Amino acid sequence: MNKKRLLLAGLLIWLSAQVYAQENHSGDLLIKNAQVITITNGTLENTDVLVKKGIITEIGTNLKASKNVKIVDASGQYLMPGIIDAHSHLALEIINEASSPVTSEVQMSDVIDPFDISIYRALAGGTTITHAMHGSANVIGGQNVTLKLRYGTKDPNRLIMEEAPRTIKFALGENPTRVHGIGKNLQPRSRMGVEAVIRNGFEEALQYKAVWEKWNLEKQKKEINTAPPKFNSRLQTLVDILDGEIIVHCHSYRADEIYMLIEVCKEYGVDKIVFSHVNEGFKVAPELAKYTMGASVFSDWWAYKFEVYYSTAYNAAILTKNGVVTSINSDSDELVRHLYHEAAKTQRYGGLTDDEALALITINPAKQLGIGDYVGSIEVGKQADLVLFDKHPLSIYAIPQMTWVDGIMYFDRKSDQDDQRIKINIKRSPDPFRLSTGAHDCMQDVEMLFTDNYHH
Amino acid sequence: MKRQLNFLCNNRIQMKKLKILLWCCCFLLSQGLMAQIEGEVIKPYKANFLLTNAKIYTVTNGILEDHDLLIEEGLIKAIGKDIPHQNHSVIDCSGKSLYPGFIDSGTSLGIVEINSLTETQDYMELGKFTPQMQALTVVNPNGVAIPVTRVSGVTTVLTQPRGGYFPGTAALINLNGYTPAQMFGGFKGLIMNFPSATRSGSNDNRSLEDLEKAATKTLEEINALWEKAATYLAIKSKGGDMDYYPEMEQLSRVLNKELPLLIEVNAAKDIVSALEWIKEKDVKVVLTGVAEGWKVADKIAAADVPVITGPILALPTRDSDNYDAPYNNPALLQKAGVKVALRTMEAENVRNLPFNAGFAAAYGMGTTEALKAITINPAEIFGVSDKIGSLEEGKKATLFIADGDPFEPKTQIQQVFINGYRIPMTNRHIRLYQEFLDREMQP
Amino acid sequence: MKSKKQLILTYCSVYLICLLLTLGQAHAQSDNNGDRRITSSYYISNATVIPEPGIIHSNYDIIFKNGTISEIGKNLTIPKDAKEIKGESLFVYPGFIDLGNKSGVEIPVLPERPEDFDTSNPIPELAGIHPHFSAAKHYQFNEKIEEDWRGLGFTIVQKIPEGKGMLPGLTTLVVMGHEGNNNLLTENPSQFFQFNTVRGVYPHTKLAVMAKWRDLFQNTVLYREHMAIYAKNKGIGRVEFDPVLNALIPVTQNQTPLLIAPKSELDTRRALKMLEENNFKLVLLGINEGAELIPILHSKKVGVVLNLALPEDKFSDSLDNDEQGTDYDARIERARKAFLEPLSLASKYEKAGIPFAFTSMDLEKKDFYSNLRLMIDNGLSKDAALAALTMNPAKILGIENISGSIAPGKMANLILMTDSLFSKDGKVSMVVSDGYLFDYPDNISSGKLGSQVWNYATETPVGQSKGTWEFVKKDDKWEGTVSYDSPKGTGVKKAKMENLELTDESLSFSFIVETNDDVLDVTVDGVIKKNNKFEGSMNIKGYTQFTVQATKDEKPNKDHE
Repeated sequence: MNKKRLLLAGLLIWLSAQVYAQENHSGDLLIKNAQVITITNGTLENTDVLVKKGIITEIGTNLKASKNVKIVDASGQYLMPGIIDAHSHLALEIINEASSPVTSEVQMSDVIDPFDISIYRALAGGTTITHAMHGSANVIGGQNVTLKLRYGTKDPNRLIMEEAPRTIKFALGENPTRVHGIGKNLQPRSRMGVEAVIRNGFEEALQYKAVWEKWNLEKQKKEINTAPPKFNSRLQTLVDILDGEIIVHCHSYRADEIYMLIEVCKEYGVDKIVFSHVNEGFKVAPELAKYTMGASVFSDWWAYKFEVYYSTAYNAAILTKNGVVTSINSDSDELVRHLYHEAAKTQRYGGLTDDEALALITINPAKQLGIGDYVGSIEVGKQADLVLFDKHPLSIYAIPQMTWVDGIMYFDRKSDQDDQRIKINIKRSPDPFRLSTGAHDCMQDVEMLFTDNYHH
Repeated sequence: MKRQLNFLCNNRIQMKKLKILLWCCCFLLSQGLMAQIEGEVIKPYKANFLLTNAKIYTVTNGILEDHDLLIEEGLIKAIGKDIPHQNHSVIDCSGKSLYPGFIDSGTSLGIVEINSLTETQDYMELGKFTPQMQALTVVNPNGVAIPVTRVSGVTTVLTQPRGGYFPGTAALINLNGYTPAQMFGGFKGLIMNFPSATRSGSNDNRSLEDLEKAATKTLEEINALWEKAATYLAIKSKGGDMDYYPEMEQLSRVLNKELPLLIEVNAAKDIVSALEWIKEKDVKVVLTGVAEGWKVADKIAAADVPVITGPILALPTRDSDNYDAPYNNPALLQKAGVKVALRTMEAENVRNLPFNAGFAAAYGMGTTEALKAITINPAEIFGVSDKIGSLEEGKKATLFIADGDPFEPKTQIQQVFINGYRIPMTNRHIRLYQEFLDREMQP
Repeated sequence: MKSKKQLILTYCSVYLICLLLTLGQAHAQSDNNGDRRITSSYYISNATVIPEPGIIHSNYDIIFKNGTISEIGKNLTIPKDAKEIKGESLFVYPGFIDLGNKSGVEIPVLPERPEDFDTSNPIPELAGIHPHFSAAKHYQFNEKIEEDWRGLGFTIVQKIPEGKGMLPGLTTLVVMGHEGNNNLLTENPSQFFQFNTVRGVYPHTKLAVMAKWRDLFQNTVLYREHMAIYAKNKGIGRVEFDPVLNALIPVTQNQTPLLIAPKSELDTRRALKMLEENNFKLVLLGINEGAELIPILHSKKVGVVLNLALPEDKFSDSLDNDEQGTDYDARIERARKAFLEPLSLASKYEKAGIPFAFTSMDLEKKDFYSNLRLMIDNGLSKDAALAALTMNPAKILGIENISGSIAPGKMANLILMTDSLFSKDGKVSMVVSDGYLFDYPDNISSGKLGSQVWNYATETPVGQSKGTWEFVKKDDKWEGTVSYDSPKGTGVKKAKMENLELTDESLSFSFIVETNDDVLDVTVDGVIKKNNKFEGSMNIKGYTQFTVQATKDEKPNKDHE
């Protein structure tokens, strides 16, 4: 009886695995005669790209594929690496755990929403990877998760990019001081307090690390003389940051606060740090170039709050020309659909070359997320996250035609159907009217703690 | 030894500096910009300009290759070949294009400085019936966003109040001037928010009946106000004694067609209701927003009502909608026969208007129609097509020179003229760029 | 070896103690209200008995005494002290077991927030983390509340602790017995967990709930380790008592199951993630979506409790809106299909061979039988439905030795029905719970008294028009709805009756019909004859008048409400 049941369970698991396999095809693909924008190796005219099991295996001319491999004729079209968004809140059920100035223990991988229609819309805009981040309510927010937009699955874990290293959200300036200082009478109330909160966290983490090291040593030697310490994932995460296992992605705007965190990181030996938004990054571009993994900026957002009043749309250009690894992010379910256009704006504001502009949304964000070895350019051995445009992707008239993740097509403009929802939430109004407000998501889920209507 | 190292170091930094300087120069040249000289005053100035050998996108008379355009007294004096120049400031436009200044038909530019600071939000007044509130009064001619906007070729915007049933009166402004009066672009319109009977937001679980009821109730309130204004107007036109009633005074201007009514409505069903509502009203009407216009385009066309729609770079209104519905909306409306103007609904980023038009163009509208939607169409809708909206002799010299297609991000807008004023092609964004591209003090 | 005498003595003393326990302390008062029952021994005669799913015995007798079934079979000898319950025409089922319900559970009193309350670091109780609380301490059996639930057939219920946060406390198992008794069966059968939070304090969202759970689990393990070390070596610091960790020890040791209430498919997946990270016994309470998770739940041996509450289709009313674009109908149809999915979830579990139970947690009482019938209409077998209400929950709770079927030695928890279970005419006429009898005469007649359905037909110049009139009595006042073919040709429409007057002899009402270009005011007026026939007229104001005939439906069909 028991055995029979086990067999049945096994059968069911196998069956469900079959369904997945069918859903996702093989990841084999041959794209013929494209203008291949490799990012790292210039643009190759009339070139073929061969993909096997989701990996780019050959780039050249007159490539052949075995039978049953899907062949795409891309004559006259532009193939570029899938677009990577280094700052997004796409596909998340919840964004902020705004209840404490430090929440390094929370993990965005716990709240991935595979049903978010915005995933499909992002794919239709050529985006294949998003960095799903905690919001900016806390000085040290939660651990982010890097997602591959494998839309269609109901399993949140299937969206996770396994190769991506751990990253964490920090936030400086108005948002944390407003939420905690003004909203709840907790430090930080000022940018001074922001620094103090980070330093307190790092110091406590060092103590925590020492206590555990001592205990583990005693346990190893079987000479236990102390009680076991309490486990604290918040401090443990901070320890991991200090140990260089986690890349910090810090929401920041003003030059002074960016400089502050660079100094604190230098002091604690933290060198894996990327600054996000970083509207005044251009003022400390040489410092960013020297000490950080780069800056992820908006193409042109400014003036929506005081700390971004003294911004410039030339930020990305100044940073790039000063040698900062720079990316352009969306922080928005709307912008994530046309990051190629956001990147193009750096040609108006600062005259970046095509390669420089496209690096802002491909290899540079890949580096900032620690996944530059896997994605971000069209190279043999990299994952086949690709997008095909009818015109040069930096042209305003360019329309993404097809998008692949791991060599599997997730968007095809020609066969695009209405209503791409995977699931209809029956507990809510199923298809309500919603006007996009241009509001951004960084401060979502803080309503109970802080009711003013602030974003980014 | 130490000295040598130091020298090497310096040398490296200098090399880098040189490189960046080179960049900077390239940029400035490409922009036709001059680095600001200390003490130099940069401000708009009026003169007689002759723009020669340009490709002129007239909008109304096609594209004229290799033509000259003469600006005198703030007007386009002449367009032709080889116009002789006397005392004119000549600008060689070989290889360049001329376009009429772009018009954004819906913004809050100039009436908000920093949106998160309520102290600077001058676009909203208390109360739901405040038609007499004037956007023009609160336009800050020195708002930092104004020069940031106009260097993109957007020279003219409708700036409008929001909130309530009748939030106030919008005004068309040109982005140059020291007083609101100098900036005024010759059009005002009364904003009305049409009540919605559509479920909005995923937490809205009201039944269809409840939605209708709520919308009907609001519309009844609006109708009551309308009736009052009619009475007000009737008594006033007979010369009857009236108490001071600025709200009715202003609304009655819509009833006697002095002021057009700009009806903000977005959901398909509400658009149909709005069309129904205006049937019996003998007033000038423009529909604004119209996000789901594509679903009822034929009905809008049949009603012969112009539409101001946007932003085009927006999310679909329904989860079930096709991902490109907002991109396609202007094209579908235009193809159904609706006169379409575009808007960004932005304040600090009105400069994205050409890109919104570019997306509309790419998704079915084509560049010619998309260009009209930010030039002549809004000029006609606002009744100012005798002054702006195209490059024609006798119109205001509100135009710009570009080194290519102004919808393309790569293109640089090289010189803007507003009412014949040559606009300095700088603003805080550019000045910050100039200062920080190559920061003197290195880490 | 003990002698027989000794054994008998032992039995006697146990019996005496039991007797004392039942009677309580003698307080020298008789039953001056006449409430006490004459006997605790009963005998159901000649009933159709369904002792467990799939087995039917005709003309069976059941004998139970002191709350326990003593015999079941044909032509049993009637004990002298037994009161007879005539079972002819009755169907007897085992009493239902509800795996989760909160009625009668009080919200625990929490400590006051101190003045310098730090929302980022609250004491556990103020953060909704009180696994050391027990529903047993906050549950008060209240006949007024419970009698209706019992009237549906529920005899054993797992009471869920109240609390806004993630760990509200331990559940308790009670029998729906006599009000004066202590009806607690098992004090702390499971630890309850939800993804809810108190909001405004840490943990504020599911994000922190997950993180907090990981910390709690690890620290419970360390707490145990500390206790073990301290037991051996007093030289290290003492174990500071921590009620929260202490309460979680049985969960981390796989003894007490964690009862997680998912509110969505993603919650269910989150619960599975918790299970992947840490080993514990998982029971999912109140699932109503996510059929593709069935194989995983099966392989992980997760206890499955489905939700008896079904979603309401609130959106087909949007159908007659013709202003929503070309593919609008297809979209609405998709939404409608999504609403139908939960109806077939139970049958999918049955087909996958997973024994599941039910919870009434989110259920409105009136929907119980109609929802079950909906599930049956959507593929669930009646046997599986019965099992989900009896044997399966007994097994999940580990009480199958005393409940879940009708057998000697098990508790006398029985449902006596007028017809077979889940049939449209089947009504609960009596429930036996803990050996006590509870009559439900209203159930049987309420259908006739409280609601009426009439089918009408009218001859109009354009053909015959048909529909129904439905009447429901609310607070002694009749309310009615009329259904008719939409003049827009968009199917059957319903309208609320206005000015309704319904007596035994006459009926009149009016209602409004919207056509494409008009609103019609319709009045119906006529007499009711002895044979449940109506004859009268239908008057459309400003237009014309037709005759109307109607017949009363003898058995109102609840499914079509």
